[in-house]
Amino acid sequence: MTETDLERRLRGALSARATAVTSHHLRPDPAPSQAAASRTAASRGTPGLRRSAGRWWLPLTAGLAAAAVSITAFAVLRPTEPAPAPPASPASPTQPAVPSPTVPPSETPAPIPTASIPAPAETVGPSDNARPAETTAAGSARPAGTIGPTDNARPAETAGPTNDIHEDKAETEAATTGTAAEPTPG
Amino acid sequence: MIFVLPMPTSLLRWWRGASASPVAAAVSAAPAIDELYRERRLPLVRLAVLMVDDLPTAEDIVQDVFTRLYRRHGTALTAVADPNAYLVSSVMNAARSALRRRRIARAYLPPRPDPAPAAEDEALLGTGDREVIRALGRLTARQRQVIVLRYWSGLSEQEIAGTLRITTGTVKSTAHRALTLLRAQLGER
Repeated sequence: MTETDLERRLRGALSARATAVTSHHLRPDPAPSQAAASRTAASRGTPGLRRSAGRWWLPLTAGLAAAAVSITAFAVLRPTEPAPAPPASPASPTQPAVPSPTVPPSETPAPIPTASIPAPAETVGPSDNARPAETTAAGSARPAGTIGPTDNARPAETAGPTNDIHEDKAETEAATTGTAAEPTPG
Repeated sequence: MIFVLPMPTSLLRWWRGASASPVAAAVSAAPAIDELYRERRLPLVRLAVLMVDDLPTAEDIVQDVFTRLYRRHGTALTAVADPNAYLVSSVMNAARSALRRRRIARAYLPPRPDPAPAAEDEALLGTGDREVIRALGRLTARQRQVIVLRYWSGLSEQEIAGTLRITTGTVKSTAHRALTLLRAQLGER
């Protein structure tokens, strides 16, 4: 078989095979642009497009709603009364005493004051005016600077040491004048 | 105090898509790709049939090529210098890929009997032509490309080299080897 014969056979066979395919054999495929348009419309759709475009406010509204719910819950569930104070701890010796007028003096037991240990903060200042007599009977042991203010408010029956002081003064005055200090005979 | 909220991404995407979408451009502009499709579809299907010897596969190849062309370059095709050469090259590459997939599938699937030729093919193709087509099926994909482009499309060696993106020397050697094989196969009968 020569080269020309082979080429001729090739051309004839290829032409016959290609001619066998006509436009009637082809399936009716749409043009690529129309196919893409129909595919886009089928996948997304115009109503869907509008729906997706109109849905932009959805996350914004959801965020605002969540914030409103949080604020409302905080306002409703917020505790109205103030928080209870922590339990009082004994005052340290170095810390200055803070008066608390709300605590009644009768509820707090009055400790025995000594010279070395000062009284607790709640019982030192304002509660001295209403202090009972038996608790202040040891007022002679107090320092001299604290006697004056406490004696003015002290009841009469509890002013034993003060009467002693007055009697001492009277005796000294009688001794100096030599008159009316002697007791009268019954 | 004025609060300026940023426009949501979905709204931006919708705005951009509504303003300049390929669909809208296809409606407004002249669809050059549709004209090209109407003119070149049948020759390209015939070319693909000569390569893969299967009409449904050839139609799929051509449809995929046009779809890729539309997706890449739109409808105007202004960025394509020679749409015809582009399409021929794309069909050849797609047909080569189809033949490669078919060869791999045949390696893993049990052999099937060759389908009986249609009555029209029997009427149009003579015995000699069927032998030639059968011999063409035994060539490699590259050799078949060169033979089809040379003896059916009538392209020169330079054009074949440009279409297949190979050198002219490769075209010459491939064509010579293919003709030798065909001569040997057809001469035996």
